[in-house]
Amino acid sequence: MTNADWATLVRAIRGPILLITVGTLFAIDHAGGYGFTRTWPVLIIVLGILKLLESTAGKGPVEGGLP
Amino acid sequence: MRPRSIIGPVLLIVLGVVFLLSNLRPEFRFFDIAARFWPYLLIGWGGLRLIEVLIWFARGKLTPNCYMRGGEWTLVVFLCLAGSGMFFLARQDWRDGKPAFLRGIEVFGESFDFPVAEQKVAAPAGAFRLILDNQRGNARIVAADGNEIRVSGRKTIKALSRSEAEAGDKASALELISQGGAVLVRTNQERITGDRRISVDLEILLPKAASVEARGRYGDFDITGVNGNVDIGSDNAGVRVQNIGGNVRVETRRSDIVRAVAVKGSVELRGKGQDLELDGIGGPVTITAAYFGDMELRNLAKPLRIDADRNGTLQVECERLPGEIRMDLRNFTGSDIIGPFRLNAKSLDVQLGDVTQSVTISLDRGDVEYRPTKPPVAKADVRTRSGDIEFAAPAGAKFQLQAVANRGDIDNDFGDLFRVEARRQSEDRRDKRRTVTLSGSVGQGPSITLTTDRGVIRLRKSERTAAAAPKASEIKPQPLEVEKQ
Repeated sequence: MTNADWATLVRAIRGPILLITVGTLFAIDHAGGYGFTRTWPVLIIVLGILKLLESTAGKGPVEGGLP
Repeated sequence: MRPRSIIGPVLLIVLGVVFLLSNLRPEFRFFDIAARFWPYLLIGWGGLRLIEVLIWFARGKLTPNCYMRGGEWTLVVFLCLAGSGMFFLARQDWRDGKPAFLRGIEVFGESFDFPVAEQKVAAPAGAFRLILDNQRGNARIVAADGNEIRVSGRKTIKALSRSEAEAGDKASALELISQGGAVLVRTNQERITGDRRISVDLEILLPKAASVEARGRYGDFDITGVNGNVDIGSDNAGVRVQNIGGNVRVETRRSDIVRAVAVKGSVELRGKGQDLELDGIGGPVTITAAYFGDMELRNLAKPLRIDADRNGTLQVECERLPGEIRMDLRNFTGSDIIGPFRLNAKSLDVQLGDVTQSVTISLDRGDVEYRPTKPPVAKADVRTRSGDIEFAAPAGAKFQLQAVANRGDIDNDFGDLFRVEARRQSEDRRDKRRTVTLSGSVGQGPSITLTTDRGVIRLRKSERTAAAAPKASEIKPQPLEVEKQ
């Protein structure tokens, strides 16, 4: 497996992971736990972690680079 | 090339199933459920996308084209907005038919509680009326010995400051006015103006000779032990009355429950509501209210008449009800009913036990099970436009039977005793629809007519269950007529 493959994977799972995080935060909000207005920084943290993974994997191809 | 995502089709299927459910099952409250559980749609969406990405990765098909794009994110944002909006609306308090955030600034206020000091007034001699005018708040009215009327309670005022609330408290003083044969209890809530909101919970003790007339917009009524009539009108009220000597009239525009237990007089219910419970009513019961929850009726000594528009028409009539009738939006069960019994409904599954005199059932859609537990069976006419009919004859019952199943079939436990005929509905050979008829009799008895326009009719010999079996002393060696033949 090349670094580029790995970086593509990390970037491809970024969307789904963020989606799941948003869903979970809203679910917690609606279930009466912490409100979304208080928990939204979790999204930034998750995004940061994903970016970090990406950079350790090396530079991936540019998004939308292929026709 | 980008592999195709399954998210689109899956979303369509989920949407279809949800709308189908909400169309088929009225108790499935789409809005409430969607408002609460929409975040799980996001989680599921993300989960599916994740699995997809991993599968594509394993197959080596993963390219930068597989990332989530602007279009998909736009959909996510829309879902979040719509979901949050629904959640916000569902959480609102809809008591006035509009959510709290539209009722002005009061939501920002604070609640202040004030005690309502006890006031007394001597009750007029003999029977008298208590007229209660309390727009918002609960009232508990209890009849006791003595000849005084005592009123106390608690007042809640929502206002921006304490001083404003105190001014409101002074303006809305409780009044007891005795004039002629009536006593008026007034909480004067309409004197409060502006954004302040008030509700008064009252405890009223009065002599048993009272009749009660109560009007309100929001608040529950709990009335016990008065010998006179009870008349309640409210926009939104739970009503509980017990041990009432006179008649009970209740009219609600919304209600979570109406319960009347041990009423000597008649009961008349109008308007709309949720659950209904009647037990031990001495007079006639007339229900023209549409109750959408569970209905339980028991021990009615005089005729029952229900005529309501609830998911289509619903009409029920019987002479007396020593037994029980239970109903929700889809099911009706009744047993131990003194007829003539008449049921007319748009869509209902009916299970009927013992009924005297006669049974007339007419349904647009729904199955009917008629299972008397002991002979003699009543004369019956059961019709459904779409649904199955099952008639289980108790051992020893005598009856004449005529059954017609259009576009259906007849399943007969009695064998040769009945003549079954099937014929095509039209001369056209391509038309496969057929009508099955059955006729015959078991001894000389009342006539039973069963008709379904689409469905199966089943004739059963009822097996005696322990509960339904007559006492040992009542059992006479009487073989089934069927077995003689």
